Amino acid sequence: MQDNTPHFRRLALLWVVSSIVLTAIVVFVLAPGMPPGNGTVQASGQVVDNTVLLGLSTPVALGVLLCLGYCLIVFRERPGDDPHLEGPAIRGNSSIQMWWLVVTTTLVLFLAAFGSIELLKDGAGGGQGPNPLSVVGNPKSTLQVQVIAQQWQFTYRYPQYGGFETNKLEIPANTTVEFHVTSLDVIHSFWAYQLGVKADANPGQDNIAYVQTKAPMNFAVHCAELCGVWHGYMFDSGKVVPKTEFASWVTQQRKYFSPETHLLTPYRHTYFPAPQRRGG
Amino acid sequence: MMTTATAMPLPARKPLGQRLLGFNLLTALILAVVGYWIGHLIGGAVHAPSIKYYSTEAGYNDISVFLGYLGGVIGFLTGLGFANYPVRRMLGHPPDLPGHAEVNEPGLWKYLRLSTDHKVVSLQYLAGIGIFFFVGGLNAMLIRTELLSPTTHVFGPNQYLTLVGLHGSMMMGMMTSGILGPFANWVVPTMIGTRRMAFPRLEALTFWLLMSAGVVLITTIFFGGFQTGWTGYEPLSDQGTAGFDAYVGFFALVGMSMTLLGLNLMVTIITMRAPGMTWSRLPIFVWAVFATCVLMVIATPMLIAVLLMGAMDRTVQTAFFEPGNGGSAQLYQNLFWFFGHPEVYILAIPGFGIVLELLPVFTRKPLWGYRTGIAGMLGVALLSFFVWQHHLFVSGINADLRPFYMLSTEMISLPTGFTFLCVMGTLWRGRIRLTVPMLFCMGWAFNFLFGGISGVFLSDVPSDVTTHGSFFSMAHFHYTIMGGLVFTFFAAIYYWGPKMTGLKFSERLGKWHFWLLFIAFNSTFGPLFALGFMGMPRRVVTYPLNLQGLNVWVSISAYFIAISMLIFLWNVVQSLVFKREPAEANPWQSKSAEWQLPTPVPAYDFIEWPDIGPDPYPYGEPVEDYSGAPAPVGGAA
Amino acid sequence: MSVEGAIGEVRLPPEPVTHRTRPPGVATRLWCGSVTFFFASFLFAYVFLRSLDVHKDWVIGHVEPSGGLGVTVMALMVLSGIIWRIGHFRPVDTIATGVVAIVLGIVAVALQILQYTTIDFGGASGAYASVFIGWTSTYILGAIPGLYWIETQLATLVRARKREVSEADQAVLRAGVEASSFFWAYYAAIGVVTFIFLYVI
Repeated sequence: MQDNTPHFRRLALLWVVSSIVLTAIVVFVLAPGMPPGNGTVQASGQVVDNTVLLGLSTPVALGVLLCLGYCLIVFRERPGDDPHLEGPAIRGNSSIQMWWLVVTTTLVLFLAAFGSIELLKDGAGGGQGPNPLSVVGNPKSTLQVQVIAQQWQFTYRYPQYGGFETNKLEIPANTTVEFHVTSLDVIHSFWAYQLGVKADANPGQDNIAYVQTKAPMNFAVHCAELCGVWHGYMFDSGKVVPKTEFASWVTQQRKYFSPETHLLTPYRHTYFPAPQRRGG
Repeated sequence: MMTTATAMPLPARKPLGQRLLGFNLLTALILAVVGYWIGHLIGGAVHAPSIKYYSTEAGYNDISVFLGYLGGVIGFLTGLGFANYPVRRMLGHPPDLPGHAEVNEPGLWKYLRLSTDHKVVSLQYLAGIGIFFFVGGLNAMLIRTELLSPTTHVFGPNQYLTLVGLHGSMMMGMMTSGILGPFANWVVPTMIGTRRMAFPRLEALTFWLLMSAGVVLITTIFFGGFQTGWTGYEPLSDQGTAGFDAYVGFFALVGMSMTLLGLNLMVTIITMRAPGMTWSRLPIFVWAVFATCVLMVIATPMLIAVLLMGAMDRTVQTAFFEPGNGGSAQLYQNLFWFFGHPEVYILAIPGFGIVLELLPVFTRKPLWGYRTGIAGMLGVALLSFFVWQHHLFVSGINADLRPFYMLSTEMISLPTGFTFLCVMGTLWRGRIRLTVPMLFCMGWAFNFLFGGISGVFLSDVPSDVTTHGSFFSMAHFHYTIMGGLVFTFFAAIYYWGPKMTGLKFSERLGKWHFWLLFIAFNSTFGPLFALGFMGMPRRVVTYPLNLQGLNVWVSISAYFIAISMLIFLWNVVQSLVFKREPAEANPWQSKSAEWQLPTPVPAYDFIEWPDIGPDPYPYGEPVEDYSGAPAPVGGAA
Repeated sequence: MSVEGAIGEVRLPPEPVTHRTRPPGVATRLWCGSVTFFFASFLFAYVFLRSLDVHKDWVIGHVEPSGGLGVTVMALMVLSGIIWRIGHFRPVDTIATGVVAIVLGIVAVALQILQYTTIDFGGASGAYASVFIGWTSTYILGAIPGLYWIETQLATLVRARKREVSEADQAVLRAGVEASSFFWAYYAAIGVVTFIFLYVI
């Protein structure tokens, strides 16, 4: 039985029309709500990445799904069909295979290049280790905040303000902040969701992440790496506040903690974790 | 010696009392307990002098626990009879092959002993892995029950994390052999035209090692559980109680089982193909097994090594992962993921193989793009060694290499895309029969598509900064592993089950199982992408109040997965215990070798191997004008 | 093999003899791949920790295992590997070389244990000490199954001298000797790498 229906053309038309519609919906309706929001420059960069990825994967997914669905509906064996009938013995089509390879390779190379550019532009808020490749902003006006993770809380030190240590995280708006993340015991991960920052806290290692804040807001902080029994309770919150408010807050905190600050270990990028020897 | 055919009648069945004496599961369990205590005593004696120097703050003596596990496993294997042949060889008896007449024995007794028949071992694998699969699934249900509420309400944090760790380890460890154990052991010898695996005793050993591993893992609950999840990151795990020793013992045993299973299958495929079964004529499932075995043989030893280092840190006080004494926590992460990333393809590639193997049967067409499919699987296998650092994108280690790992990770989608291309090409213009195995294959295509696309988000560093370590990544790997491996696992059960057991399964219950599982699966794991995007980290026992609605939805959907599994279980029990309707020899009209055997399959599999000719997929009406298509495999044209 | 099955007794065509002669050799080569990656983990740990060395704690205190014993262990393993490989190529001498190889191997194991009694550091004395203890102990533990393997080959050959052995069975025996000698020589080569990293560099 020769089937002369132009299946391929029909499917291609279906795909083109539906992917234009759906991609438009995804990019213009869904994408503005993509996480982690537009609170900071880095977070906005992630939204752009998520949008591009979503916009590109929509036609790809749609193509595969439409093809599967079309095949399952149109080429299905129906009750009453001759059970001895078989499909055509097509074993491949080298031009389709080649085009598939070309298209997917192009997509992958584009995505990798795009992702790399987005990453190297501003560090994307990720932990970059002790010697960051993408340094953001003017080092003179950058606020340094050290995030010290331990089981099971985060504390913060402000080295430019005498190195006091507090359990409240406040950072000024419209400023570049350099987080130095380290841990005293096991691996934690500092995840400030709305800031678009995630950096692992490794014992004995400094991990730097940059964020450029915009307007004042509140943000949530979670530990994103399993760190023991109370991992689920290791969360916190922080504030981006106007610069003047930050200045008064930091002076007040510095004064408040001054009796203890000189008792602390002097500010360092890492604090040597105490060896955790166990018996046996 | 198998080279000559001599009459060997089945020995008369001994009474039960006599059968219990000898090498069987009962003896094995007794010797396991004895071995555990001997190991434990030796450990105590070794450890006694060091008590002076180290305080035993956790109250456990890890040396005793490790040696206890070692002694227990040795006792268990000895009791099963694995020591007999090595001792005989030591005394100079020539290498020989075990006979396996036991497959014709009636009853279940043959499954409770060391058996070297590849068909018996396959069913042992299926039952054994099935049990642990259901235990792991039960753990998942308990996890979801806890997550019904934003605060702790059923389990405390320690119990919760132990459940998370048990679920993860059980699924990753036991299900790694989920397709290779039961199905490759059964099908591969027949597909390539031999009656046995290259090393039948090794084949049995891999199964019993896996079972002892599972039991070792469960003993963690007697030692206080472990709080590290299946990844067992150091130095957290070094703080753990002796419950973590169970994890180490478990994964080391699983690693040995996997390495040996891969080795055995690979040697079988290389050396024991029937005359004329050239590499380009192998069924695609055999190629998938081969690609998987490459990963198993190469990557798994690194797991054993890294666990050994961890065990040394816990026992002889080395400092591989102790940041205070010269070690590094990232050393563990690097070594673990150097194994861990190939591991997830060890889970995925057999699924590709099953889908590509089954599609021609149910579309009545030859496989579209046979060579492309092989290239895809080998490509995935090769690339999987170059991507492991994407698990460390935000860890701050080798951060400058992230663009490279971004590229290599995204490149994995190229060979995976080949598999999808083959699927679509094979479906095109076929005569598609939507039987239960075919439904599960289509379920795979749907799930794995979303699993793969979400993987691109995780491989893109800026996007990964948010999704890393969140429920998004959890949803991603459940889409690829549960949606990929488990769906094809069931496809294989429904497809080969009738041949393996000789009994018919209910098609109606199978369809119920599929549709409920498929819908409940997507309803469970789809929202998890959203939860991850909304900022819920993995492995937490509490979460913000505004996420409760979605979490409750997910938990209820998860219970429907459980119901679908109960339907499956009922299907199996009904078919194997109550109805016992004999299966047809070839209910799917398949043209592959194993379906040409009679059902039930005799112990010797076949007298003359069913010669399936130069083409592994001789389906379809010949067409004249497939211009540009590669020549049919085997050069038939 | 003949099995009484549902369709009565059948006679099966004999299995090709290559099904028994080829697997040991192929399996050994694959197994060597596994072993390589196993020890590559220790090599990775060595390179990683040494290059990291953030807190200058690659070596803490006095960490100097006896180099004399180290070089002796390596030399004995290499000698043993070479001799047993020669034994495979010279069928007349297989048994004699095997005995020598086993003796050398046992002495190597004993000397390695002796070395542990002389070292004055523990695993906590820095990263080098950890890698040293981990690598050498797993290496020498792994040698014991290798020695067992050689022993089984020798025992089989000794027994085979006393009786008539068919040509096919002879080929199977030779395949076993080849496999174990390949593994043993390869394992000795890993010993050389171990020595170079732990004592020389």
